[in-house]
Amino acid sequence: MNDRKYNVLVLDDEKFILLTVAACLKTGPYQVTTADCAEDALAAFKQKRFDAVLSDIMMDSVDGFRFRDMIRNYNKRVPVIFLTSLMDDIDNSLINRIMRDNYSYYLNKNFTRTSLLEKLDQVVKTYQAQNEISQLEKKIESDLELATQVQTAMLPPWVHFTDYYMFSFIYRPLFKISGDLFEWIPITPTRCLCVFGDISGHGIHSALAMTAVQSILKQLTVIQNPDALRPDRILRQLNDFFCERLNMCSYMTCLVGIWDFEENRLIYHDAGHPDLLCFHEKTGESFDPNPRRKGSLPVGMLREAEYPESNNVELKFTDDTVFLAHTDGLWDIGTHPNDQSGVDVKTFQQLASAAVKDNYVVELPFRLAAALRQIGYDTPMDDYSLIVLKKLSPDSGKSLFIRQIPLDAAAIDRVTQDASEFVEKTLKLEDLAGKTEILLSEFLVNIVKHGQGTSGKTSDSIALLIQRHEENGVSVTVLDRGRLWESREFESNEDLDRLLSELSRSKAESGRGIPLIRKLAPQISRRHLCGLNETIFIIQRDDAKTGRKEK
Amino acid sequence: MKEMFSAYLAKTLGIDDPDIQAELIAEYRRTFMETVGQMKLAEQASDFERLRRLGHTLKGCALNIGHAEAREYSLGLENCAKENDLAGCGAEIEKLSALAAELE
Repeated sequence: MNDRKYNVLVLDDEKFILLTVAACLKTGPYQVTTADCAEDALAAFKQKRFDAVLSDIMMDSVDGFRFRDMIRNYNKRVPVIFLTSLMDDIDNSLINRIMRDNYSYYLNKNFTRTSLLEKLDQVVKTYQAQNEISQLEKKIESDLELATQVQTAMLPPWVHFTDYYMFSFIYRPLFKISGDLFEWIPITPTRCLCVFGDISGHGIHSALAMTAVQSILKQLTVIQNPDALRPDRILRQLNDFFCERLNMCSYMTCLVGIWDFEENRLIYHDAGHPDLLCFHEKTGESFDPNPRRKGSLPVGMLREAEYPESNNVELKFTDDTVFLAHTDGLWDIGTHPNDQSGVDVKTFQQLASAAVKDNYVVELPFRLAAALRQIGYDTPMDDYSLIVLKKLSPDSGKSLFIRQIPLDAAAIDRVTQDASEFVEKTLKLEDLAGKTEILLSEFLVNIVKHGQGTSGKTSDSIALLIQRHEENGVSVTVLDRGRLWESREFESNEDLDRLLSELSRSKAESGRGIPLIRKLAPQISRRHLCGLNETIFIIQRDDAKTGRKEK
Repeated sequence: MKEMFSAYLAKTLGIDDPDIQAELIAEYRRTFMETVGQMKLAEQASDFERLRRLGHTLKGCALNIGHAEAREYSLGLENCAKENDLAGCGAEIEKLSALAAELE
């Protein structure tokens, strides 16, 4: 023990015992506070941090056990030593009552100075160690929290649309941080490099390696001539990095691909990673992009591994090809904690085929994760990621408005105006343009202001998709990763009409809430898909709602 | 008896300051007298629960100062009180009263 004085609180309704214990500990490393009733002891306990409490059991008003309950409301772990006439009183029920609390001990009232000091020393050291462990746990927890934020910040946005292609992904660490890697690096507006990886192990070790790989990949693309980038070359460089710089302390399965959305050409190299799953969007039909099973070893496994160019897979794809990449953690999602079999590949492909043709591609990773959960696969055993990538057809802008929106008011303002223009000029539904703009302005601002509690990320995005609904309507789909939206009761229709007319006069600002949104779009559906909120608004002409025919 | 208590306090509890020893012995004596007085009242009222508690209390104090006889009679009182044995309680209180006289 060091020179520190430890605070000990002694409770006994006999003054003689209090004086004896205080005198006995006078020369030790303890600062003693005495109390002859539980009320005074509790008041003292609330004022100072004590390292141990010594208490009699049988007392006139509040007994020792009740006093222990009282202090446990303030401190769950401070050690309590009960002083008892051990030889005379102790029996199983008394021991059980003492030991019901994990931080309680007992000492014979016939104690000696040595036995008292030994007991105090033991419990105070244990308590100190527990406090240190607890502080360490808090520190680790906070470090992990920071690591999670850093890792998330290094990932691409969960959804991204360019003029030529889009991707979205779900990223599920088993515990806070993950060794799964998804890196997207645009090379030109129509070409991009994507790397999907899975570093061996879990947690901090693999997350650190993942971060290193991400920075190496960024360096490679900056240093090298974009035309010289080739999957096999990148893999050789990654293998060197793992073997030489990381000293082969971990390895990584990965799939490195370069997509060219102008030429509809993909060249990729699979290094021990689950192969790409490819589907036709229109039919949901799947096809095997790599029937000859070309591929190489994971990087970092063998210093001499070659990753020959001949093992690159080259694929010409159609405009409607949907690429689905994932890590093998996907197959390890079980139906219960001891489930060794995991997800059946065929079942997953069937789910994916059905989901591809019936839904927006952008939702696919979340929809598939939700579908797996729905059929019982709700217990992940490993980190898993699911990424979808697809070309955007040049004609898609004629019927579909898609944007990812950063969470800031200026961006929302721009997008709502663009959306209004799309409804007015492209869909030729002039009279719904204003409603669309007001609705979006209201709803998106609500998400930004109130709905982002879960993700807590200001860098997060919202995806927006607008298209015609039947003949005279507009379907607006908003995908966000914030809090679930809870609908409130309607206000009266008169109030809503008044609010709407005020709005029309003053033009949209923001934040007037759900009743107005309900008024603008009486048909609203809302679903939660594994971390993604999907809200669909159907905005229709008033005559369409009431069943009147257009003139 | 005072010497016996002083020796116990010094040897067993490491309390060798004569002033503190004197204070503790005086407090023990006061507690002893007061408790025996309360025991007699409880005996007259046949209040066995009170007798048991008083026996328990004095036993604890006696243990802390090395007063073996007091501890023995207090334990005897506690046990008799648990069995609602009024005569037994009276006998133990008598013995404790005799010890109280010695303490004076």
